[in-house]
Amino acid sequence: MDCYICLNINPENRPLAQDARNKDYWQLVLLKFKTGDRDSFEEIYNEFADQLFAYGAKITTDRELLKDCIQDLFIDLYKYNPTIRNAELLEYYLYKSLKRLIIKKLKKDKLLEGFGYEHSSFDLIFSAETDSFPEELINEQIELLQKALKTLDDKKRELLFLKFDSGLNYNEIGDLLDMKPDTVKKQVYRILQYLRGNFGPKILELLFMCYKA
Amino acid sequence: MDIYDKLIENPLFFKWIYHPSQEIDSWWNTYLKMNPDEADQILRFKQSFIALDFPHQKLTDLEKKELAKRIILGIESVEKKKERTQFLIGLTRYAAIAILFFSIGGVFVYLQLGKQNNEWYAEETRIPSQLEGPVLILPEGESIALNKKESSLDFTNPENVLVNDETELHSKNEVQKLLTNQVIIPYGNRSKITLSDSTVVWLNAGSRLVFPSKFSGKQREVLLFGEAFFDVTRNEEMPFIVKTSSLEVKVLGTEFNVSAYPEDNTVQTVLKEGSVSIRRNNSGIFESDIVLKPNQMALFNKNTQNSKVYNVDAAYYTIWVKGLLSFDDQDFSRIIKKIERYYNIQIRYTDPLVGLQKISGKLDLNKNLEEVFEYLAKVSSTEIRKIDNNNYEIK
Repeated sequence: MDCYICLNINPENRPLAQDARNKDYWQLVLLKFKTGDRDSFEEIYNEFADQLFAYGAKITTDRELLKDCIQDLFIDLYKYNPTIRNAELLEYYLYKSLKRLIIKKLKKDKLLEGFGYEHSSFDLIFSAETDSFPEELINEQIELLQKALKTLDDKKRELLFLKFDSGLNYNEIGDLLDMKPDTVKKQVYRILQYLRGNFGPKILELLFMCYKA
Repeated sequence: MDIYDKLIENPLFFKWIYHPSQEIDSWWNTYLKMNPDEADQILRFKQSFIALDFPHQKLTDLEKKELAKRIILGIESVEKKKERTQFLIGLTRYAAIAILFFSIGGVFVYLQLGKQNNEWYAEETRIPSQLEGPVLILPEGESIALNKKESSLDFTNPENVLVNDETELHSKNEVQKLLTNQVIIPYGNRSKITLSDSTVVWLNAGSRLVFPSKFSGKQREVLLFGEAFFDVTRNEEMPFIVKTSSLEVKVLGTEFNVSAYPEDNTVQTVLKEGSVSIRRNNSGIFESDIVLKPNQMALFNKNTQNSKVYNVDAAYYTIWVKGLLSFDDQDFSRIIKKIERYYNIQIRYTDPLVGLQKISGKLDLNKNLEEVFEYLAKVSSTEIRKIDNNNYEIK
């Protein structure tokens, strides 16, 4: 359709997608995108492209492959009218599809070399784990945290990445990683308990609990 | 939930740390200003995330622009393929209209027959045409003008009812609270009503809702003539029931749309979320209820007294709540009816066949009538002419 009348979207006061109160706004943008509206494409693209690229880059270091996947992702969103009934699920859809597309491409390209995503790692390294982390800040707590972070496997790293870097909720993260939402939540809390400010003997206890479990 | 839990559950908090931008910074600055007692804790908590920072791979600005261009080109080529198939579909549409032309005589006979079992209250439930604007009629019969095209009522506290967000009514009498109020919304107006159980009802143009100030007993019952969208607060002990002239919709907690205009031949129930069951008035004991799943529509035909269930996109049927009208392959005449109700105008056809064509598109009813008509004329390849203030003609 080449013409339509809809609410005018004013990019000046574009509401933040993660702000739950803007559900209606993003619903509209998504609807408009479905009618082939270029502005609303840019709206969705500008909101999520950086985030998605950052996520994809943790799975593959091949920038060109990643860009191809993001291209396919948006064209699929337009073409297939996927079952995103409401805008709340948009972000989840984008993450899930991007991951699927990357793995598919990696498998296809690397079939001959004999390895795929299963063997590559989710490349998330926190500041505290790097040499560049300012030494003057390293205290007992940071040392404990460093130790704790080293015990994290790829799945848990991906989990923390999604929690910090996306607006996805526990159910959605659980679904992406094939984990129970409860497990996801527990994991996040275990790590973050550490940062809650109440430094003290409690921390030792908590960390002990986390990483034994 | 303490303040740290609240922050952890708020994706905007992490966005602030890991993807700072002008928008997000100003959002938080406002928040901190409005909640000065939390500011210190929030800032300290944010600070403690230094250790959990991690490097982000970024698209350069150029890469980002180029990628956007590639995607747009991709979408456009999809669009071209679509147009080609649509041309073929367009051809079959003419064939469909031709068939309709021959069957229309039969439909007229059928409709005339159906009129004989007129509903007894259809007359009194019509919206009185002399009504100036939307009104709330209290149990005692006193009526209060709502004075706004988009009015709101809030009965969350039955002792202190808010009309258009201002305190208007005080009722201390316990009995009075159980009696029913009536909201009448003439064509060209709409209203949002919050009931005492926090259920929210958007009442569309030309509709009437009857409800108690406070729900009591085993059920929450309201009476609807016309169209409304319900967002029902969950309460398993007290099911919520929408009664219309021909059927009942029963729910526990859900979002759904009911369209039951007395002058329409059908009652339409569309479920967005949750589940509802529908029972015909005077249904036999052996007749089972219709249970809808999300994104299903039950269409009850008043003449045949039968219901059919269709799979639909609920968004199309509920978007009027936001002042938008969305239609996908619907009868032009049905869209015209909705527009008549919304703007309180009359539209005549010079050629009745025009109303039979199917059209798709979206309308923003917050725009003025001229713009809406311009769009409609385009998608239906018709001409819409103004005759006088409230009368229009389609050619």
